[in-house]
Amino acid sequence: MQGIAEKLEWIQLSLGYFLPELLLCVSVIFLLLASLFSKAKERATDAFALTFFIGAFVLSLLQYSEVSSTIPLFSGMLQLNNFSTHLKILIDLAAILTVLLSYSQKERKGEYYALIATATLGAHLLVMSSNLVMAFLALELISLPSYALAAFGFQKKSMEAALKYFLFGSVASAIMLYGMSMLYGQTLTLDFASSTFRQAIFDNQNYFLVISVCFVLVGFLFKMSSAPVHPWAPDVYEASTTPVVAFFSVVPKLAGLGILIHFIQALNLGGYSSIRWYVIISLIAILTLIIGNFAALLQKNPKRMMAYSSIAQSGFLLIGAITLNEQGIAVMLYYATAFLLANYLVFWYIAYFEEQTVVEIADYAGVGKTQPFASIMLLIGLISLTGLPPTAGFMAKLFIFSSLWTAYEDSQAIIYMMLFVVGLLNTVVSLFFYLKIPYQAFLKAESRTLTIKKSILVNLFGIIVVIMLLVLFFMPSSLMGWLNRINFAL
Amino acid sequence: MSQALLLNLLFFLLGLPLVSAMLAQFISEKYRWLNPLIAVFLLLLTTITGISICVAQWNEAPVLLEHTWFSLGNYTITAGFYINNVTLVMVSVVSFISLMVHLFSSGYMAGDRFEKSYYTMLGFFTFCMLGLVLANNILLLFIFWELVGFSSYTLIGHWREKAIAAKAAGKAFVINRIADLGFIAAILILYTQTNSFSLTEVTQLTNEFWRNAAAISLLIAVMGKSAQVPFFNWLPSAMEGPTPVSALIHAATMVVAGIFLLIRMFPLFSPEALDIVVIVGSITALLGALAALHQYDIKKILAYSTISQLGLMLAAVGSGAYGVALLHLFTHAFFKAGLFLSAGAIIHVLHQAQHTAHVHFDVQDIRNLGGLKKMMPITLVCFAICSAALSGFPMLSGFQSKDAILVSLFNWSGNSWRLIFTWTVVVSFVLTIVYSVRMLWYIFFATAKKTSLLRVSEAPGILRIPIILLSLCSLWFVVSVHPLEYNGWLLNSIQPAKHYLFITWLSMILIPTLSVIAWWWYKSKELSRVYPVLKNGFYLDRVYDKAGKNTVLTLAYTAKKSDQGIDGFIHVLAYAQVTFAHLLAWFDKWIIDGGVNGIAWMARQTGALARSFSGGKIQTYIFWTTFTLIIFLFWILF
Amino acid sequence: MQAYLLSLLLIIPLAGALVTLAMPSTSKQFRTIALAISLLQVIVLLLVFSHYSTQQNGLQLIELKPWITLDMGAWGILKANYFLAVDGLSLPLVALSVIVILIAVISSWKIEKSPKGYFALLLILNAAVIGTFCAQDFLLFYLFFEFMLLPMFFLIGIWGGVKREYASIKFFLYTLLGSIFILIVMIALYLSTQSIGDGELIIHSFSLVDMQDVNNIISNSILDPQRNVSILGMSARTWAFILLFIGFGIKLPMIPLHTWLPDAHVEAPTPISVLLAALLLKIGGYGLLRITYPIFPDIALELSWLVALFGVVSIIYGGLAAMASKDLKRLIAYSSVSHMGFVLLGVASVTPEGSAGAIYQMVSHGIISTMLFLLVGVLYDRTHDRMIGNYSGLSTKMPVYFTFTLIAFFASLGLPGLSGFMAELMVFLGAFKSGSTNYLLHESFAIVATFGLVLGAIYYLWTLQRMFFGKFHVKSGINNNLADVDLREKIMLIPLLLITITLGIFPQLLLDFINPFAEAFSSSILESGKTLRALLQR
Repeated sequence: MQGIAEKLEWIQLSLGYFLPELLLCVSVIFLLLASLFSKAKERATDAFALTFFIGAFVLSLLQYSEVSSTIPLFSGMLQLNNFSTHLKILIDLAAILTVLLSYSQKERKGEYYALIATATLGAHLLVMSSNLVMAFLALELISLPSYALAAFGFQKKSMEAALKYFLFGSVASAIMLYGMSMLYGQTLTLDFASSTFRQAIFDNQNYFLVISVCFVLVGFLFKMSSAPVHPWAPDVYEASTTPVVAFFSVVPKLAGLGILIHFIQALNLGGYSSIRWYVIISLIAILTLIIGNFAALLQKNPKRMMAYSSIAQSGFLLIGAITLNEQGIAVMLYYATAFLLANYLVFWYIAYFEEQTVVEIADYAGVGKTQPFASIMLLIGLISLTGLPPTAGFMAKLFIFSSLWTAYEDSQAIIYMMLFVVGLLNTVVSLFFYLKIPYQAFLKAESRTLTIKKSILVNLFGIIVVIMLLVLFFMPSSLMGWLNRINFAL
Repeated sequence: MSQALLLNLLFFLLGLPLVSAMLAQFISEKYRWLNPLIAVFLLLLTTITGISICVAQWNEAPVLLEHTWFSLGNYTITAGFYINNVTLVMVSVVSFISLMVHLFSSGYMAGDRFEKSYYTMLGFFTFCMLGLVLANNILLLFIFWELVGFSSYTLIGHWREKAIAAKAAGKAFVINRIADLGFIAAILILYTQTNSFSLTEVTQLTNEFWRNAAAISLLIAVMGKSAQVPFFNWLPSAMEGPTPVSALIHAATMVVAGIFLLIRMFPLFSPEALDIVVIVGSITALLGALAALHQYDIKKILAYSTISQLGLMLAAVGSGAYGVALLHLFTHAFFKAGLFLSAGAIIHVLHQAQHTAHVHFDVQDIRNLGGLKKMMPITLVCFAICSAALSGFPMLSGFQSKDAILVSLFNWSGNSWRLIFTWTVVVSFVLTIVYSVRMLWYIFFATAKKTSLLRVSEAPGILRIPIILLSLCSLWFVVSVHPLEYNGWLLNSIQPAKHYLFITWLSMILIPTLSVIAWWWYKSKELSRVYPVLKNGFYLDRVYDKAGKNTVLTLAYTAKKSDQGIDGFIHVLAYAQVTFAHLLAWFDKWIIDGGVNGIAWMARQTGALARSFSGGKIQTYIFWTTFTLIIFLFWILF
Repeated sequence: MQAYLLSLLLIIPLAGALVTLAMPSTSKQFRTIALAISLLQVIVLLLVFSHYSTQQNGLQLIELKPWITLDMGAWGILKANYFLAVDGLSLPLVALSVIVILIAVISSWKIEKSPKGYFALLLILNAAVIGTFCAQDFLLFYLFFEFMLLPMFFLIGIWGGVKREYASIKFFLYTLLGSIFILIVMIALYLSTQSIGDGELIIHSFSLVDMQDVNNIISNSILDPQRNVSILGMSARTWAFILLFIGFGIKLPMIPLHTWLPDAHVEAPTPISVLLAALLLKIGGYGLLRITYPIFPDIALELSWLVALFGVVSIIYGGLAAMASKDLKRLIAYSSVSHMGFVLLGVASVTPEGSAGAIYQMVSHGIISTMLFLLVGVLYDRTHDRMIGNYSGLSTKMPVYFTFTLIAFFASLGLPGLSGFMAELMVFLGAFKSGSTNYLLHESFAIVATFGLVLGAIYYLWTLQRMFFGKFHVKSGINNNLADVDLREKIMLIPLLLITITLGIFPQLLLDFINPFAEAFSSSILESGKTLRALLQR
């Protein structure tokens, strides 16, 4: 055991690398207090929240230059590397976008942002975790505010959804905890980045290990809303407010993905593992892709549809995790970025139309004629999610599938080819449902007249994101080049 | 003649009818009377040019004028003119007959609603026909070959409101198209083997197999265009077009393009292939004559007669005497055009008369005619001369050419199995006499039937001039000065034929005798019943409808069905996808409620918590998730 | 100037689209802008022609700008270029596009339903089509290729007929499925292709020129013939060829992947049918000639008989299906299927004649099908009915219309002297010659294909007979006060007619461009195909 002095030294050393998280801690407290004491004006709260998240974003960004290799923090509870930094940046970006998206939210702003900040903090910690207990704590730190956020519609439906979410989440956590304890039994350490852990894994390549790892994965996959632990997502998405859904569809997903990759990377033993973990992940990815895409086909509610879409997208993200090499991870991060932008663009306009009482997909009939600009923006977002040129989504899919192809080329494992084919064919399937809204908007006649509330802010945001999506297509090197220069040694 | 002058004259020759065709389109409705005038004038120029070229180039060495057209791969294809005596004969015939028909049309078609397009297509046809005979290569020849078919299509269908005419036009084109596949096949073979289209080069193909294949393929094309068995049925239907058109296209010029092609490509035909040509020709000659004997419609009689005569020409080529075939082509052009135009004059006059008398019957049906002898004496004389020429009466050109055919066929057959076909031809000669007499008798000499209701007078002068000219050209001197000699200016310069005086004398005696017998026969009895099988041209139409058209239509509807099948398959796929989606959604949501109702029920019983929200879904979610996980683990592990 | 001509061809319509979008939707000038753009493109096209040399073989007017250069670590460097150029294959098709789009704009003159969106989409489509024909980089090609889908989807789906939604979705899904197949091969290809670089790293190139060079195959990659990877019993290269073939076959369309076409055509408005038939179908043939055959010559030699078989089946089946169609537009759509079958047959022959014929057929069919669809449009504008059985004796009522239809039909059924015949003849010559020169196809392919000519004659003449001949009559309920072709329609039809006749009589005008490509194409396929097969056997 470490002595107290040693621990203090750790803390002292680590704090310098912990600034974004500290800022998030401060923001949680500040936002709560602000709402308690000053009854601050809504716009002021928005501004504070925005400032904090931008601050966290900038601080995370700065960590890029500081970190060249993996740095253990807090006695090895956390570890900071460029991979987690990038995910943190994306998470912060998502938080900023959520704040912007929550612009029209009226009630309990302070608490609301505090919850978001807490979840963001949890996500930060989760992607940095290198210890199973830490991972568990971070995961719960995301989960608990999420349950509360799910209830933020303040309707019976959202309460019910929140409760479902909570119950499902607790079971997932329980299973994960059980898996962790089993893993501890075998390795006698919780620090999965340590050499002890690796040695123990190397010595115990057996079915028991597989079972315990699968149990642990349940928790991570739950956060990613991957099959088979996805069923909570549609109910929750449908019942929650749109900004919260947008947040749910990105932040916990990226956080779960981060820890999953870290964890599997550790288990893979640099390729010396005799258990082929990539087969398990591939199977999960195939299952997730099929369930997500096919189940989305029949949805009539845009948010429910987007829930399945996000399930499907986590399938694509998992493809990035399968190759387990630097290139695969860089590509996955590219995909995550493209997904984040397009996803927010879509939710942004779903919220925009929701305000005009366009709630179900059928309600979109004819809006393409009355509100062509907004409809085109929505269309571009959906195209990017489908993965058609000239949007970032296409490049992302191209890279993802290229990475899968190279993996196949190297290993000749048929599972990769299966995943490749399933993934691409699912792209066609996904077009069915992604086109549903534009189909209604442009091809159907208007069924009723809407009161149009034009918002410059919304469209400004739309244009910026669309430009980014286009830039990521036409100049993929703008991001990919950067990602490639970063050392992703985990 | 210098080459430059010749080239200019040739362009002039080809250009004039084309100009005539185009001008017809541009003359406004107000000056429509100009149409025939201009057309006749330009055609007159064409004829003069054609005949002067013919005279100037006659018996000169063949001339080849060509220019690069396009290149395929490494091979350059030229386009140009190839002129020898055969070409010159054809040029004169085509331009002269065309002139006659134009002249005739100016009276016959006066006042027609679509006169413009009539003259356009007539001019265009003349251009294409001249192009066909002048072409230096087989591709160019084929292009014109098809274009004359196109002209024939539009001209048969000239009376647009007549549905039956459109049908006949389509039939003519499609049957010719089918036969033309042979032409295309020949082109493919010749090009592949010789890398050229040039007439002079492709005929030098040496590979025995491909040479025969090309020859047979060409023969198929010829059988289509020249209406031979089994493709002849389009020609009788083509009579739905205006009569001058029938005279020009379906008697004197277009249909003989097949014979012309055989003559042009003669070196390609091996003796065996030539035998087949004779067989086809002689059978057609017989069948055509038989069918002609059993028609009531004047134009149909003439059409079947044309089929029969074309068969004779084919037989002549097959016997090796292509010069003789050309001779018959030459004489036939005049007397058959004369016959058609005479028939046209009769039809025209009767129509006019019907119009004033308000009596209506089919003026083309010989059962309705008769007694025109007195009413139209000049037409009678011309018609009689031409039909006598057709039946081979001495002193007329038909006698000379037929004599030559017989001689060459007997030469060809010797004492072998081939005699069967030679005798077939002889029989068809006899039948020709019979149907010529029958036609002449019933139109002019029999007692007037429905015609007696009409006041009929001689055809107007504009119609008479071409008929008279054509019947004059059916006299012996167009062939040679000596009325029994066929080796006149034409054959001597192309392919002199041997004589066999016995045959000549025999036919000189027999033909008039047979004519008199036939005359007596028809005079003595009423119009006999006809055999339906012959009247309907051996039911070839019906066979084609049954075997060809119905099969194709069935196939077409099968294709349509199978398309629906493919679509159905796609739909099934789509439905399957949607169903699968349903299944998943159902599984995701409802199987939980339905499949594990008991558990849900238990949950409702036990957990108070569950009662607050619908159906205890969350427990079942968790149940299923755990269940899946366990399944998953089992799958991975075992 | 010369260096940017091709870009100019693309930028002009895109700029036009932007201008259109920026204008208020109440404006009436959209069509004027579109027309001006098209005319401008014609001028640029003339400049392109003036800078193109027919003496020279290979790509000309090359524009090569680096687009994406990505260092992908272990994979090597990924390189895609903005690479535009034209050669004997591209230039005729680019010229065709410019002409047909001009006609389509004139034909759209009376569009009244939201003209702003319509013309904006038309202009985007314009750029995408021309881009597809000019791009010499696979990624760029794919970009343009996909870029056509959405505008087309909306153009059919919004401005189409009664069943437009079904038709547009069907079109979109079919084509997207095809493009996914192409995408799979594209990924495999660029990862297996290197461009010669100076560094140690492998440069993965998207350039089609690089991909066509046998020496650029990365050894030990999946598409390396020497490694001979087998997937489900077939070699990876065979799979790639088949996927590309299917992908472009859908576009072509080839039996049995064609069922989107009749629906799309029938439902699309006239100008869109024109674009679809005249240009979009050509991309299938273009893809085969530009990508499938040159990149996989070894498999091409092996499977040409299959390609030809599909071609022949398309020719015959399309003709039969056309015969059974009751809707005039559907009939013409099926005739397109039949005529595009000739392209397959021509390409499969791998002879100079056949490949030249395939290109010639693409151009000729582009012109002729434009005429045909415009003519259907003329009738549809007046009566809003396209059923063949509802008309009779139109020729007496609309003589000028009849004349145009007559010539267009005969052009389509391959009357000599018109462009269609020349094209089909060359295809036949090529396919037949293949049997005795490179032994890829048996002679019977060409012979069976000739029956397509008969079928064409049958269904067109039957249609003429039913619709145009006989006593004038239209089914009750249909407007029977039919005006003949007006000036605007003549302006569209007459140039097309003249082009058809000119190309039918003077094939060298086009062959000057096509021949060098066709010769190089067939000889290089044979050569490198043999080289690759030799590698495989070693």
